[in-house]
Amino acid sequence: MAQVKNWQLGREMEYFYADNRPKRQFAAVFNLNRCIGCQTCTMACKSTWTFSPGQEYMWWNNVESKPYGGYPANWDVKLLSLLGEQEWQGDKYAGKTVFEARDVNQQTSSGMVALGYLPTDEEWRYPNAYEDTPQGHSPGGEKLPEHRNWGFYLPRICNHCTYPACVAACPRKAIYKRQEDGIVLIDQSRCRGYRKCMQACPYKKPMYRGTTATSEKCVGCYPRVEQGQATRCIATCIGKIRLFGWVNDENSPVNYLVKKAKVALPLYPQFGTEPNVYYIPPRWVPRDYLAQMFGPGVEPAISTYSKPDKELLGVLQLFGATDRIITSYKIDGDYAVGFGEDGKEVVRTAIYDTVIVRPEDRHNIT
Amino acid sequence: MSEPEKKQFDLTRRNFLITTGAALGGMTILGTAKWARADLVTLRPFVVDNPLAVYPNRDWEKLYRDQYKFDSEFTFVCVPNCTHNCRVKGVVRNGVMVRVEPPYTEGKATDIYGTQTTQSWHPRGCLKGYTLPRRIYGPHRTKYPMVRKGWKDWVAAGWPDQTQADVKEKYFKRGYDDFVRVSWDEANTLVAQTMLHIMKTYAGEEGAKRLLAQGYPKEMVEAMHGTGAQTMKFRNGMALNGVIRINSLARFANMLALYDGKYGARQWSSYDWHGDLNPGHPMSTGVKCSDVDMNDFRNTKLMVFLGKNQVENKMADAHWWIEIIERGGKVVNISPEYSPASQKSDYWIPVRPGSDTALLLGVANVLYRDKLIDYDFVKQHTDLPLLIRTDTLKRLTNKDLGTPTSTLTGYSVKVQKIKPELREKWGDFVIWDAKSNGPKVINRDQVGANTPYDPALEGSFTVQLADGKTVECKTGFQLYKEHVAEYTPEAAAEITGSPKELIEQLAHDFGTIKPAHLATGEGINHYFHCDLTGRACFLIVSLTGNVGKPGANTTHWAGNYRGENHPGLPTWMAEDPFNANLDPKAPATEVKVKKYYKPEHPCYWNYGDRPLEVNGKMYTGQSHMPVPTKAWWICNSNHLNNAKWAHNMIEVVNKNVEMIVSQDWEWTGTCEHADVVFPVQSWAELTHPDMTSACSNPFFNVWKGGLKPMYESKQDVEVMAGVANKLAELTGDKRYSDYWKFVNENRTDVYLQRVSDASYTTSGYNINELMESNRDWLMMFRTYPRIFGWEQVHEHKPWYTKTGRIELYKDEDEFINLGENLIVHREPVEATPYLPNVIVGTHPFIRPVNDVPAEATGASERSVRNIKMAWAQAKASKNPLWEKGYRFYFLTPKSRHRVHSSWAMTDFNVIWDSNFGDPYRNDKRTPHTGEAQVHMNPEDGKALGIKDGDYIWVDANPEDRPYVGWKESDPYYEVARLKVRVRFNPGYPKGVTMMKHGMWIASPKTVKANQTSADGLAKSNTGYMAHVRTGSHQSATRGWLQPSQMTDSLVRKGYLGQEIGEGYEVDVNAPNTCPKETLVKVTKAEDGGPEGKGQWTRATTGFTPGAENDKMKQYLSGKFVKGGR
Repeated sequence: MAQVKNWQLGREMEYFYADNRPKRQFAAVFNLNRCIGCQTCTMACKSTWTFSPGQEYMWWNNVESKPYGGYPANWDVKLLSLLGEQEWQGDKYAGKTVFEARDVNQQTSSGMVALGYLPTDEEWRYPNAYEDTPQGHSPGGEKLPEHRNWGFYLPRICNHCTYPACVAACPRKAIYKRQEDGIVLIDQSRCRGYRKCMQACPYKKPMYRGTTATSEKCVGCYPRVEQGQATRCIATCIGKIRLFGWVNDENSPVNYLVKKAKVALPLYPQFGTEPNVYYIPPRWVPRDYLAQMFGPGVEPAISTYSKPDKELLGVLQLFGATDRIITSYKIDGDYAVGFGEDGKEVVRTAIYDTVIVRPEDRHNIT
Repeated sequence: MSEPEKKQFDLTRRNFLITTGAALGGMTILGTAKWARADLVTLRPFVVDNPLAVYPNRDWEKLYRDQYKFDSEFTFVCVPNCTHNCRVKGVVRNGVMVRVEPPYTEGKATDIYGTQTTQSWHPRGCLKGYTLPRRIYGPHRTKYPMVRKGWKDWVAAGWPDQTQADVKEKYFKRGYDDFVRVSWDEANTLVAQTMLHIMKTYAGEEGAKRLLAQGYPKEMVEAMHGTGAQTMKFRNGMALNGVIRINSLARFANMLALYDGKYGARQWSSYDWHGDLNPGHPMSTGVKCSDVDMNDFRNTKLMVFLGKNQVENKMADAHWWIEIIERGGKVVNISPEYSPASQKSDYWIPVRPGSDTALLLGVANVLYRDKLIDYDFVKQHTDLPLLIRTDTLKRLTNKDLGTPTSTLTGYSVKVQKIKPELREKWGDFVIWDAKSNGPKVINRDQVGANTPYDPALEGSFTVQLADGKTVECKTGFQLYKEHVAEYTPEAAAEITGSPKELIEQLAHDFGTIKPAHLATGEGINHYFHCDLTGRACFLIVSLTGNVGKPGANTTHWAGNYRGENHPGLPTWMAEDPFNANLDPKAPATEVKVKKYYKPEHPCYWNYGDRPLEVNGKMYTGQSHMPVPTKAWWICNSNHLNNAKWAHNMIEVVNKNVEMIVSQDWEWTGTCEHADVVFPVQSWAELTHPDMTSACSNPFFNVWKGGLKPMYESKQDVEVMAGVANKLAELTGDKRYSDYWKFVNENRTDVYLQRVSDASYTTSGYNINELMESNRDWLMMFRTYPRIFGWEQVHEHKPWYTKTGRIELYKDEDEFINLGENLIVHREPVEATPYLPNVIVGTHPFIRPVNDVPAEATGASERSVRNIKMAWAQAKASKNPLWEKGYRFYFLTPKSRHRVHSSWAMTDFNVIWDSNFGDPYRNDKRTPHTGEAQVHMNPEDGKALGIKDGDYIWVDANPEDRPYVGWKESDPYYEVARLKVRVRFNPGYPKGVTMMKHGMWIASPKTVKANQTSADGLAKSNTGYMAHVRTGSHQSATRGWLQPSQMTDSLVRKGYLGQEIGEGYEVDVNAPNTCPKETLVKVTKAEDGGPEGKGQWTRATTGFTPGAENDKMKQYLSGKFVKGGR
């Protein structure tokens, strides 16, 4: 047992292993204002990783319609219910994490099983239940700043957490975090399918495969990341909501969005795993709900995002502009420019578009 | 598996057994599958101190790297009917396309002028493109030419008279009958012989006599001009998606003129048939549809969606408008339910389905009231300054004043090529000059900054006519001022159910935020009076000066409609078959064009193969007149499945059709009810090149497939050439095969180059260079991004209307008689609680002619009933159908998980398409890995005793649905009646239900299989599979014909090119199908729980809408945390 520093909670917390941050931490920013719930990411992932027998219920990437949707069913309502009402004091989390709230009776001798539950088979069915479903109809319409009856899409992958609950829980120590990129992997040769990771992961991202008797989860597309290429779900995101980057590298646009502009926030930071997918919160959703989901910082994030300065607007143009990993960037006049690991330019895109006129024998009306 | 790989596999497998044997002893008895990954087991000792720091052996990581490996890549274009047409990259391993990726090359697109796109276009493609391998290698592919057994016997029997009941019974049991596999040669022979038979049977006087005896009206028979080939309808579905291969059906139709030397066959249209045409657009500007490249939204400051779900339906191009919120702009959404686009909105305005025109007129009321009008724009670009006579309701012309029509030399003649006789007929128009205080004649070239004088906008003017009499005239501006005064925000709020404050807000935003863009979609367009709504949109954007400018306009994207992006198409579709150019090097200008085929709208087939005739009066214009349908042939479309009233078409109308041919790469509902099915290649397999562009982005793509064609499939153009070659063989006329010379010689690129050279959008490109470039190029419109009306507004060129201006007032007789000369709100023809089709308005200029009593209930009678009422009176009126308990609106929009009925059977997509997606199908009633669903407000469900997840019956107007003449005892009635799962959605207002369209409909064989097979899959022995247990969303829809959209007098641009003409024009001036014109009754059919007992389990958890437990309520209100704000 160790005390580790969780910056998202503004305090130290209890974890099974000592702090050992990777050289570079896999991270992504998902802009929920742009998400159209199209499931392109879902299909890109499925068609690459989980199309084989035994993986029928397995969607490493999913997009769920909030508030009623969830895969597995209502995972977050269930987790929050288990955890009970908790509290933030300013930027400091005064409540309990899933580690701190764990049930001692559930522990194995070689792992720390966080507060959690094992979803039933039925809960893995109907991955897109209640798409586009707000909780009521408002005959008077809806207006900003908060829609009373609302809905939004929450795209989810493995958070490749800094303090993964799955790693802590595995009794065989078959789950590890790669030093070179922070990707968390389940060793398929050593996993024996105890499903402690499934039980412990508050995001319910490890999934069990009956044909191999192992658990599998999002692999962060490491065969791509190793080649300097963003993951499939990010590279295919036509809503341009996703940006890959190393969150602990100060030059990275992801670092800028998370640490400097502070427009992107972690998902349920109170769970305590220090997740590494950061979300720009949807501007129309009631702030109480958003604070429950993203912790403190929602209001400033929305207000900064809604009136971006030129740097932020420029960085927002880098989303989806290239499938290469952007390690650093600059705003060059009216262009947003991204550079790869070798310092070479991988993308240069215009922040504004202009109208170009061709000769008169060409027509706009066809 | 290749040989070396197989060895590797065997080796690995042997090692696996040894290793696991050694390591786990007797555990191998558990079976090999269970521990499959144990082959990766290492026997070395394994110590992990801190898995965050170090992990001892990572060799196993090879597993996923191996899974990711591939051999090669190629690009092709994904071209469903979605308006985007994205180039995508196929990733190939062992010759199999294992996955699809975005190529990230659009940012490098260029044209011959050096125009360059930006990387903001990245990435493209969507979930559909990325599950293409599931379709291409899926279980629903068509594999071989197949012929329906009964039809084959009918041909073998020498085509016995199909009108005889016993012949129908014996040979025409479509949907019940089995198919047999035949060779390509045999299929071509059967089809070619039957075509020759039909052309002969219905030719000349004999043919006409036969058809009249069959009961067709004489107008239809006369429209054939004695040519039997006219009874054959060829539908080049969504022509833009494959400029050459899809339009080869039109070329084939043209070729058939070789048979009698007079006319070819008929070409069935797509855009209007799909309900995609917004007829209000051509009525306002003369142009089929107003649209822009979506990167023009970079310039938009106010984005208003009206019945348009651009979250769900614009996929790769949706980000352009969503980004408006990051650039200081405002987004507004108007729809009955809190739709996906409502999420992103600054405000959302709910509206009663079908009442949108009233809302827009309410906005116009405020614009007038608060003087939020762009007066300069109105004077320069609209018809609102033109004088209209209060006696005849016609525009005052130079002829009234006794002056000669002016001679035009400008754009009207040079580009728009208006024929002198039309000019003379239309004359010039008159304004009231405020300066001289008198009438002044202006002509259609005098628009924009070229508008002379100082036109008065308001007032009533006495004008002296040539005959010395005087007449009172008013400007259009004045008329609208008076007319919209009736549509106060209060009145509009009452008609529409929209909040008055938000109507006011919207009007103020339109009046003060510029540029504003008003995008409409099928939410408004699938109503009978979609044209009035489209015209009302033009009223709003015209009053506020939001046309033709960057970031402005009113647009309407639906379908891949802009075949006219390639105006050189006639060199392919309408090359003169008697003088086909056989020189591959001949310039496009030497290709002789002669159009022998005639376009026709399938909506008439969809109306019982009849025009709109009520009590002996014909409401279908002469220029629109259909002819009898004896054969239809479809490519690139699931025509029958997607036909409104599909079950009526199958059970009633198609019984008079002698040959139905479908070419497709999946066995669709159309194939299931056809006679001949030709298997064709997917877009990744095309062996002949093709090209495409889009109407929402600027890209031009030329491509070929990169995969070996599956089974015996051929490219569509080869299919047509094959039958043509057979006709040459059977008739001895070599011209049939010469017409396809370059297809037969595998030089189809010759035809592509001809079309490209003859097109002002692509001339200058070398097709082969584009093909080899493996990337997108740019369409060469006048501007990038393409902006509708840019030339008109910036260069003061006339619009494509009679007046050369945006016409907000229509003075053609038909419009006056309908009471639609002014834009009015009319209640829907069926989907209303009030008197169907009633005109809401009292202005004296609304003078409808009515021949039908208010009590009439027939669909045709309602369609032509023109009764005018004040709202106070209209709101007390009743719809008899509503009174009978049919009180649910039934909306049928598109799903993001499909492109209409494409991908409808792709398992991954089906799982995500509804609440009931389950790959293991734990409930065996579920027809596939998921099933169709109806959205309903939970309170409505509770009132009807229906629980979330139950199966319900959905019944529409029993007068004619699901098909004309149905009886409960019919075997087909069970097939045609909709039984579907309900799922609660509180976002829908009470009384409004929704079912996404495009699922594959139930057929006799799927219903039987679902009821009797062991697994319950709704699968026919043809491979066809349904999405619903019985019926379909089409059980509630029907065909409609709108009199305002079948006029002979409308002035509009031709489909291709810039020329202006009058009357019917394919996809421009034609009726728009309107499936939302229906009301349904809902009753419980079965419990939703497993085995039909109890409630659907998910809905018992406490986490579902309308059934929330305390935890869920706490979650919804964000009460699981304190602080953090």
